[in-house]
Amino acid sequence: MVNEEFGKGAGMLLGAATLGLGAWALRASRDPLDFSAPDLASTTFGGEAIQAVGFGLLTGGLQLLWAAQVMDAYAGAAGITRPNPRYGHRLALQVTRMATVAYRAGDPAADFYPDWGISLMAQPYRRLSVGLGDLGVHPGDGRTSVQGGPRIHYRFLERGRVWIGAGVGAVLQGTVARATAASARNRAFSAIPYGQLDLRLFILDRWSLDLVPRVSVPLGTRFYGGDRALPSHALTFELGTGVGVYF
Amino acid sequence: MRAPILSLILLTGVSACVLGHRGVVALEADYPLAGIDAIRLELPDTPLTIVGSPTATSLSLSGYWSAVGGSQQIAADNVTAPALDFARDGRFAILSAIIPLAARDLVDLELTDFTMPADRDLEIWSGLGDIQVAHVEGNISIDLDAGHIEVFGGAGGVGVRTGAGDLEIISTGNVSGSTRSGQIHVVQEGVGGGDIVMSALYGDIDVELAADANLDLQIAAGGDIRVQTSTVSTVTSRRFVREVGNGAVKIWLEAPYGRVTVRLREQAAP
Repeated sequence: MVNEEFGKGAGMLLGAATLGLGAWALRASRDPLDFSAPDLASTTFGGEAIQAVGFGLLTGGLQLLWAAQVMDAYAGAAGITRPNPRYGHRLALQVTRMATVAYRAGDPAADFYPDWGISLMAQPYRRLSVGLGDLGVHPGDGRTSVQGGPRIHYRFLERGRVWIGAGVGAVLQGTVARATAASARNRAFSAIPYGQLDLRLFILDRWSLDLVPRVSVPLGTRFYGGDRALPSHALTFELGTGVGVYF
Repeated sequence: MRAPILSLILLTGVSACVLGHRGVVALEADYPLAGIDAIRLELPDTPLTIVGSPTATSLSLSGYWSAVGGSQQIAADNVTAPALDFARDGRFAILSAIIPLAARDLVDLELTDFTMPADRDLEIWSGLGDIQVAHVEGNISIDLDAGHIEVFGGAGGVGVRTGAGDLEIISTGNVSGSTRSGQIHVVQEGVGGGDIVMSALYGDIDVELAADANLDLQIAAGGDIRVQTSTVSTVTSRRFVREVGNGAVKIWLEAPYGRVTVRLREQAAP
């Protein structure tokens, strides 16, 4: 709207408000007393899974729309109509939320599992990137997990403002738990090998919106924030949303 | 080439999920309570129904552990990883669960039966799950993050707190409790004379007294305050303070965003 693009500005603002309010309403509608009764025995799985999927889609959409409108506002102010992505960049920094919906023991029987991480990827040869991905810290209930790991990525399609690539890597996660009567061991380690596709849409020369579907299998318990964890060998399909910047 | 890749991305996106298995294993335990006066339960979040028995000499429980795993074998391994631990310290005992870190947040405990001697003190610390305690006449203390609490007994005194949930207490002893969001109903059993100190931030309080002699009434409410006994009868709002007799029995009630009702318990017909 500042760039006198009132229609586009109002649409983005209304879209962001709708997504944000929808996500808030979904989260606010979740009453812990729904899970406090005896003998639920995970019978509420379906409703909880649908709610978690809705929350994930709304917040993922909000994240992308918010980033897109900031980039678009800058592009409008700078007069950039067609970006020229930096094919020859040396370093890429990405902030990504990988997310999935998974089962839990007990109630609630399903939940939303977000995993925010930072990736630092160097490009030693054109199209080929190597670096560290999924760097992050997950504080939990009496435990803290630190993670990160190697990734190799190849960009096999460059067409205008769109890049598509694929990568493989592994998240290495170490967890330390506060020593309590409820924990016999207070350290754990897991490795989570994965393969992923990678769609990047450029609105500015150095900035992209990222959509990253990923398949992974944790070897060892994979801890998330809060009281969430995925068991060893659980085949996991995730969708990542984020932004990237290129130097 | 781009269309199939985009389709694959979208397909993966809408099917972001995790595949795996669940495992369940039954649990049964019995802990003798000779020489033990008080028991504390520090269990994983679970609804609890605890029954006191005048003939029981031990704490008996049954239920099941459930767990998730990436394969059937891992689910089976996880479900057998935790164990209950009964630790004695003089005349005090703690029942807790020992869960290896690798299985933490992957297992859940559900207790279906729980009996104990009626004359012991009971303390419960938990996060989530409705708790019912019946016919335990020692002191009862419950601290809960979310869940409804019902206590029938507690002659030695009842102290309860829940972050979200209703409180239903029928007792001959002193009663104190609070809930952030929920209704409170307290019924004084026996001859009366016990203190009642309750607060509900977002909820109403309803108290039924066994006797109305010697009351120290201190009531604050955002809504109506109704007191109807044989010695006090009023309908007011905001704040009500009144002393009856020697004022030895505290009836201190606080409901900043709710109503408060105090009345005499209806006597059963002879």
